[in-house]
Amino acid sequence: MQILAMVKKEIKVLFRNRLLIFSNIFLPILVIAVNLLYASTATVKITIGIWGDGNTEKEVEALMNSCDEVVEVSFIRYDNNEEALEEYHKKSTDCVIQENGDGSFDVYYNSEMQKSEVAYQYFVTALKDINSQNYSAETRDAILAAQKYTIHEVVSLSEEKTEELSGYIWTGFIWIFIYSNLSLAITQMQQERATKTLLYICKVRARWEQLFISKMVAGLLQFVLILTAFIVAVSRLNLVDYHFYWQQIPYWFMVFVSIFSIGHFLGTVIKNSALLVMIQMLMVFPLMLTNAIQTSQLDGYMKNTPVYCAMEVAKSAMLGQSPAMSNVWICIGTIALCYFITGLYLSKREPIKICKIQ
Amino acid sequence: MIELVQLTKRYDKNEKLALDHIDYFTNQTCPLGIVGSNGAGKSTMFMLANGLARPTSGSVRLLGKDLAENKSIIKRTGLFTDRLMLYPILTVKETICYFMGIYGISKKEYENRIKMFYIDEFENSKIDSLSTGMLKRVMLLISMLHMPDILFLDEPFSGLDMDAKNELSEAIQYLYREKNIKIVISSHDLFETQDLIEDVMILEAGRIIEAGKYDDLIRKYSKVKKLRVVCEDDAVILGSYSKLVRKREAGQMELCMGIEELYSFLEGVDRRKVINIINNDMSLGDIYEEARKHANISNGEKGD
Repeated sequence: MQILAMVKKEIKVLFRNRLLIFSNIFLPILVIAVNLLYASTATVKITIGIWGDGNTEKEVEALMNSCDEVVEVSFIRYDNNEEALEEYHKKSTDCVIQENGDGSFDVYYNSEMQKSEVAYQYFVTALKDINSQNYSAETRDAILAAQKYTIHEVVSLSEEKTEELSGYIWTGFIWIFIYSNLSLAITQMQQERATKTLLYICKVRARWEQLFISKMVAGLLQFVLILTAFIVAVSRLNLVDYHFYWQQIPYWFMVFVSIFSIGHFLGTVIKNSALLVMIQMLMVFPLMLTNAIQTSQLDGYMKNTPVYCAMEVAKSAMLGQSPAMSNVWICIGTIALCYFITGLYLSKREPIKICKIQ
Repeated sequence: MIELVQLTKRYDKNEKLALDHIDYFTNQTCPLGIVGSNGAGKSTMFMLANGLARPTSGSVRLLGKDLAENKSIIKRTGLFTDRLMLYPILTVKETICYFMGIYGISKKEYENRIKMFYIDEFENSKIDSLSTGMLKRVMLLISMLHMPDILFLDEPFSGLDMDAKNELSEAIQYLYREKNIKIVISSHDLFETQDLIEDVMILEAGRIIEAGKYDDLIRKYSKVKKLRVVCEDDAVILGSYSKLVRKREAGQMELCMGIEELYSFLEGVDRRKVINIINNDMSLGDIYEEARKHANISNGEKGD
């Protein structure tokens, strides 16, 4: 009965907060739009692994570099096929071009991976457009000799597909999911403390678990509604090819609870609003940079943080795959640790100090 | 019913004591008024008595049980204080239903409860649209929804106009007369409070400087009671009486003096020019001021 009243109250408080609802709907749209805009205007950076016995590689490089302004190609030369393919599987390169010495090429690429497909297409286009380019007779002859090419489609490790398939849209959604839920959880506790309504909870000696669960239920309901609306919208617009997997549910739930546990912990223990915003930014924005802009430079900093692990679990959940167990354990550990410390803090500290009354 | 044993509270190591070894006992169900200037320790005492703060030393015993050992006893107390706020986004009805839910009170009771303080007139209004008077009535209802044995009211009259004060005062009287709830009230508004209370405790700088039945304190301090004499400006050659003048305006003056002084004053005055002699009852404010004088506390700050 007590928890039911709390849940009802939390749902009303949350769903009547127009600013919060607006930002939770508007922000994902904004982030995804920015991501899509970035994707449509930014130079595509592709890396091609190349090796061969002949001397055509240099000409292929020159040709592809002059091909299109929006594609920035870099090449890595290898000494043998095995090394080239090994690096390709590690995603160091987007495709591998092997010059066979008889005027033919073998092209290794994965048609389901966006950048790999781009690399392949540009290579093919470059070969076909050779006559329209202004090259020396020697170079043109060498390249024209390579009119036949063999296609080897090599599928990379499946988990790598996520970025390519759902690309910017899903990345944007997961990021905003984490950001808005973390923000919501922090705000919930800040408001309780600012309005001193936490004292009512102390006064009636309600259990802290009930308080947190009620807040989570409201947040979860909001998340499910926004996720549903989002999936319906992007599916109708054919922006993503979404498949529902039952396995997603427990993982999404775990990610949700772990984000909320961090938010409730921070919102309860830290009283300084500026510090809270700073911590929130430090936790989430590098995540956006790592994933949305697709730079790996922040990976080292982020990959052991609970928020990053939660994001990885969310990605796996989206594809109906089992996430890495290390990430799952980090999420579970985060939930346990955050709520343990928060509970300890609330039970040991004087209620008037928690609410800054003196 | 309420027993404070050497109750001491210090918030931080470097701060002075908010409550300094307070001893108090009352077994009466009649309303108790706690009077004191800002920072005297009234709110701290209320927080300690409701389990929202822990004493540095000493103990609080409520209804015969030690609060530190029986924390569930705070379920039998209610607390009304301006420091607690409500959720502005909810309606009055939703707010009350929420608190009924967390107190475990059946929804069937809702209609009875809101009629108690005429809250049904604005039950569908949002909290943030209520006037201060309405809000205080809602907060009073919330603090006693669970029908506590003791209800602590911290500054219930602050920010209210006369009508709202009267309404709230009636509501408080209803609680102890009809519902037999022990009322403990602290207020700056001594005029409103004196009509509600029967026991008085005067706190200063964390210590009790006076406590007892209101009537007993009136008797105790009435011997220093002052009379107010209103006369025309030229009714008397002031001389030594000039120090008794309290007010001078529109050709009249008001003097304040004791009975003995009045006799000698009347001998030297043109009695045709004496307009009025007012014999006020000893008010709670008078008792407070006298108690402070007896305790040798400077009068720099107007008390509660």
